[in-house]
Order: sequence, then C-alpha cells, then structure tokens
Amino acid sequence: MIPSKLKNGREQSSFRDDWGFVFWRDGLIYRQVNAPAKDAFEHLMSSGLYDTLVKQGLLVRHETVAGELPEGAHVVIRPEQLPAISYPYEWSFSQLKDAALATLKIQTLALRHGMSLRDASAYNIQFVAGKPRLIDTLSFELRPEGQPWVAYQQFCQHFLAPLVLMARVDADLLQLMRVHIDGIPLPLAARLLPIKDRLNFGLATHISLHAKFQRQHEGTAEKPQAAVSATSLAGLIDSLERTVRSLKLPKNKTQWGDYYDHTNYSDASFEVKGKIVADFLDQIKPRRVVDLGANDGSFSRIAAGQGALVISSDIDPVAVERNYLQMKANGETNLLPLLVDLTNPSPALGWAGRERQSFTERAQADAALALALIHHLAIAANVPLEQVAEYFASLTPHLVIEFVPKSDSQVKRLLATREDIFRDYTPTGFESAFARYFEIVERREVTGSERLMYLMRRKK
Amino acid sequence: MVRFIAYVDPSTGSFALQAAVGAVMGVSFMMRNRVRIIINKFKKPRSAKPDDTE
Repeated sequence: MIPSKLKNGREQSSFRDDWGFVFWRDGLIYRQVNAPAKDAFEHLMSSGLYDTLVKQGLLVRHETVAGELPEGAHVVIRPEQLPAISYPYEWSFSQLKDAALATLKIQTLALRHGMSLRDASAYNIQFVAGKPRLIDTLSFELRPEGQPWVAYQQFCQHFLAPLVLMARVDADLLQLMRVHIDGIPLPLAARLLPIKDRLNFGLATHISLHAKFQRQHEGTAEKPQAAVSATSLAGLIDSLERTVRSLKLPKNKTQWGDYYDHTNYSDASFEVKGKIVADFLDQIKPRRVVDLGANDGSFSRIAAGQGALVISSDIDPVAVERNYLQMKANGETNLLPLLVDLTNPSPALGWAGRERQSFTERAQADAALALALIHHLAIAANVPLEQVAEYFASLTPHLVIEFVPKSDSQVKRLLATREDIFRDYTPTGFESAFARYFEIVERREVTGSERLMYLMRRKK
Repeated sequence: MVRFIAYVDPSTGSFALQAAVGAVMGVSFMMRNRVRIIINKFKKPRSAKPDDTE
C-alpha cells in the first residue's frame, strides 16, 4: 500500500461529478471546483450557509489554495483532512440515524439560504470527532422556486430504507448496503416492511408510496416536471425527520451484545487486564489504534485515554451500538465504533472495485488490540493461527493480543458440540505460529484467570 | 420553470410524489408550527425564587 504521505493524483473514487473532483498531493486531500460549479460555490461561501454549517460542525471546513489554476478549474480548496474513513454498512443503527438527521438538518439550513442538496448520499457523511459531518462541499446547488428535492429518492434509499429495515425487521439487514451501493431499492424495502408498518404515515409515504410512484413512472422518456413550493419542501423534510426520529432499535439480545456483563472475569482480573493493556500501550505510544473485537469499547477507551485515535470494531451490532451511544454520552472525540466481521471484513466495492476501500486498507494502524478474540478466529471460525498472525501483521507493526486457553469457559463453550481438532491451539502453538511474523516483546499472565497477554512487534 | 438536474437521477416518480404529497405535508407543517407558537405564548414563564435573606 502506498504510504499516504507519498500519495499523488486523482482519488480513484472521485469521477462521477462534473462539478469537481478530489485529488491527492503529497499525501494531502484537495478538491478542485470546476467552472460549472462557480455560481453555486460562490453563493455557498457568500450567503452565510458555509459559515453556519461549519460553525455547527455539519460541514468540513476548507482553505482556498493559492496558485495557478488547472484548466477548467474555478478554485482549488484543501478541506480538513479526515483521520479515518468509514462507510454506512459499517455503522451502528444510531450512527446511521444521526447521519440521516444531520443530512436533513443540512438540507433545512440550505433551503433557508436559497440552496438545496443535490445529492443525499450516506457516503458524503463521515464521523469526525465523534459526530456526522458532510464532506462534499460541492453538494449544494442554487434552488429555483418550485424545484422539487432532486436527492429525495437518494435520501430514502441511503438512509430511511436501511434504518426502517434495521428497526422493524432485523439489524443485520444493514448489510444490504454492501450489495446495493446506491442505497436499498425502495421496492425491495417496501416488500420487506411488515404489514403493520405499512399503516405508518411516514413509512407508507416515503417507502411504500414512493416505490409505487417509481414503478408507475419508470421507463418514462420525458424529463420530470413538477413544482413544489418552499413550504411543501419544508413539510417534506419535517416529515422525513419525524419518521427517522421515530425509528428505534428493538432491545434484542445478541450473542455478544452484553458480553462484559457475563464474562468469566472477576472484577479484579478485569482490572489487571486493563492495567496490562495500558502498560503495553504506554510502551508503544501509538497515535492510531485499531481494536479488533472491541465489543463495547472498554479497552478501546484505554487507548483513547492515552491520546490515540481508535477504530473500535466488533462483529456484534448491539455491542457497536452500545459503544457509540456511550461515546456520544461521554462526548468522546477520538473513538470510531464500527461494525466489522473480521472473518468477512468490508471489501473494496464499487466501480472497478475502487470506489470504496476495503476495511483492511483503512484499518492500518500503529497498534492493534486483539483481546478475547483469538479463540473466535482460530476455533469458532477455523482460521489457522498462522493466517491470523499474517493478517494482523498486514495491519500493524505492534500487537497487543490475548491468548485464551482451552481451559477457559468461553473456549469450552465453543468446543462443547464440536470435535477438538485444534491440536496446535496451545500457548506454545500460538507463540510458534505468531513467531513467523512477530517477536514477543513481553508476556504476562492475567491474575485470576488462565489467559495470557502478549505485546508483540512485527518482524522486519 | 423547474430545472432538471443531471448529477443524481432524481426519478420522475420521486418528483411526482413530492408534487402529490408536498402540499399536504406543507400545510400540516405550518399548522404544527402555529400550534407550537401559540402553546409557547401561553406557557407560564418560570418565576424567580424569593430571596430568603430579605
């Protein structure tokens, strides 16, 4: 992978919009604003909309870059650089909900300044310092009186449909966003909606009726003609907001959602483990940490407390939701909870497989935490220890990892109904497998349990 | 005249739906705002606690 400081050239995912594109120069992101966007961009800057959005933390700030302009460019800007990128199919329910509400708030403010969002893609929102923020400064167009909202369908597909399906059917349906990268088609969402929810006015209008109108007008060769007043548009946005706000995740029990409430750690051994993690991290002093199998982020917060930016990932949607809600309640700014299944992490997606980067590319870090994880990969998922070590070595030069022995009750549970074919799953076998990629800097026992904690450094 | 924006496919059906329901939603929105303003007008203002030292 090219180190970011050497990255130059057009961002390969930025090719659809003739109003401009994103490019890299010496590892920094820039945005070229082309001539067709001139009027809209100047109005954004002079109308007060840009200042209002930046002040409320809803839009990335930028600086104008001085110097000779490329052909066709109106201006080149350098937006604030984002420390971590994530995608909507990696978010918890509340992250997606907050991103949806932020988008609607941005649209409301835009309308007050004579503008409108020309797209409402969930990929235009990133979590910065714990809050959703629009990253596409070219999302705004001047709105003539009477123009409907061109991005209404996109908002419903990218935000409303997945939220509704997560809230009313199953949280796992968020993964449909990996297959449908322009949002969940409304006819599909309408068919999956439980019958009782089709009586809900907001859902009936924005999902079911919307799908019906789409079907009725598909194949139409004429340009759409409709006039929608500013008041009608305000009413539409208000209805969308109330519909989104009304959606709540059911209190379902998932396999690992309340893991730390029911572990076999005593309070004392949990504290010892925390101290070991803190000591190990203090030796590395990482600026960027990826916590793999973070659950509710208890140990991610140790790294965050030491000043690192932490990507706090877990397979369980309830655990990630708890992590995010706690992050919000605490006002934490250097934690990014994400939903990731390490046995099937988000791949590269989109046109030519280049529009959305894989999780592996984006999770590169100075250190990784892999606590209470190895038995899930090696035993539950049957991944050979050496391949686990190889993957971890591809992510990070420093590893804090916990070995969970077969005598542990969590491993006994995994082996309860299976033949134990894992002959190499022993501390010796574990160390031998990892020795190919890492050297062991330190090893400590977790007092009060049989688990072992390791600090490892990747071999050159 | 309404412009046709090419960047995102807005879908004719989506435009038609906005035209069909927009007026109802707009009127409902305005009425809710009016009611909220009226309710706020008649809400009793919070009075300051008397000074115990007086």
